[in-house]
Amino acid sequence: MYSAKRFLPKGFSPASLRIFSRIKISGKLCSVFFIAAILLTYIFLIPCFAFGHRINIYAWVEGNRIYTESYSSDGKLLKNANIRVYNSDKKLLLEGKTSTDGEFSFEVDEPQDLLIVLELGDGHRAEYRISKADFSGFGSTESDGFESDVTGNELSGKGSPDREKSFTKVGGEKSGYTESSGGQNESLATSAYVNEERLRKIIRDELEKELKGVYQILGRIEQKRTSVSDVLGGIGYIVGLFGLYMAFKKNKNIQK
Amino acid sequence: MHIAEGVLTTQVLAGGGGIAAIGTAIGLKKLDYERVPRVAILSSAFFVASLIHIPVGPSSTHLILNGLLGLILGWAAFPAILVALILQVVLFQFGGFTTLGVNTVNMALPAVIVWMLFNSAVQKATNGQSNDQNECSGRRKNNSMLFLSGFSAGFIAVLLSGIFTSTTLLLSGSEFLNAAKLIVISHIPVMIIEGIVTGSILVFLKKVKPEVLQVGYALVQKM
Repeated sequence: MYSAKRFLPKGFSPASLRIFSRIKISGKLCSVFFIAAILLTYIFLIPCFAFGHRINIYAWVEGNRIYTESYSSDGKLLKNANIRVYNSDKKLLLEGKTSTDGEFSFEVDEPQDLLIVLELGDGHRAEYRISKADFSGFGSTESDGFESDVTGNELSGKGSPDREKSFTKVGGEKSGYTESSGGQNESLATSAYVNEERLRKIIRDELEKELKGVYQILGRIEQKRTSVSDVLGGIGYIVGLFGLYMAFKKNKNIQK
Repeated sequence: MHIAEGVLTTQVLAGGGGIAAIGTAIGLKKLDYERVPRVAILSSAFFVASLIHIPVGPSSTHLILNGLLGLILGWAAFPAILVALILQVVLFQFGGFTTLGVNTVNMALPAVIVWMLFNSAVQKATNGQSNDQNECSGRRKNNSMLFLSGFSAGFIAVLLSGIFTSTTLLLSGSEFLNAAKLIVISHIPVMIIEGIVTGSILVFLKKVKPEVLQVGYALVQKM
């Protein structure tokens, strides 16, 4: 039995000390209070439980460009973090650092499986895999309907001969002009080509701006947050495992 | 402080696993059957402590509590920390499965070292019969000794964990000095906070449940 007086901080008046000395608390109750105090402290800190301590990298493909965003699981963007990109043969394709917004982007020549690795110096590491199938919009920098070859040259802006080929095709098929007067046909075809091309580019640029926000939201959703149920489950598992150990040892003792 | 998957070489992982296995075996052998529930409580405390994150400038770190575990559990800190780390990997994806051994050694070995260093000081402060005429000042001296030992234990345990983690990264090829600077400096606030927390908990325990601080509280009485 412990007197309640021992729990009083020093400096209390003698009267209150007398009152407290009359209250006796059993040892078992002390243990219960001890454990309850610890649990309550943790429960009050639960708002912090939403954050763990991992790092995450999320990546998405737009056309032939891959955008990445790197952040720690408490939401802070990771600046100047090392990024390395490997292909499926584990060959290092390129490396770089994230910007002050935690972003890093790069272009590829062809759709392929990629492994993007984010690494801080202190043992934290995260990776994101991009498969060939993610490149659905590859080559959409070229307008559809043109049967042009999608080669690296096309994407870097070279290959005007092909453009001219497709240019003529639009004039022939899409705009529906007959090939009666060649000159007029060509100027009309030019305007049709430019309008459609520009329209596609405008739509693509606007979509890119909108989709960037959507991809960022997806990245956040994908990241698994620690929840109270995880914490309680973990504590349950720990107690259970040690309990199993006790049961196992008890059997051994009995057998002895 | 938890090292993630894919950072370390296979040899380091195997070595860490071996040392962790030995430490856990010693801890389990010395663990008294009656005291296992209390080990479970402290293991849960360690498990939850990693979620209490402390913002440090641009990044953040988290509490470790291995100093406290070492002082109270001694060698039993190895199985306690191992179990907590397993659950952190499974539920929160902290660290990794292959790095369990290495992470256990990096956190439990400082706990045991700190136990060896400060156990006698804690015992003296807990059991100290003050022969002073003024019992109050004697108790105050004991309490401050206890707080100081707790603070040093908490501080040194985190410091050693940082050094061991940097050594592990060095053995896998990264530059030791850079990693050590990064880890140790970013954990200095944690060291101070953990020192204060450990010291306060020890003083509180002495008041409320002094038998927790007795020699080999969780361990078998006869070695």
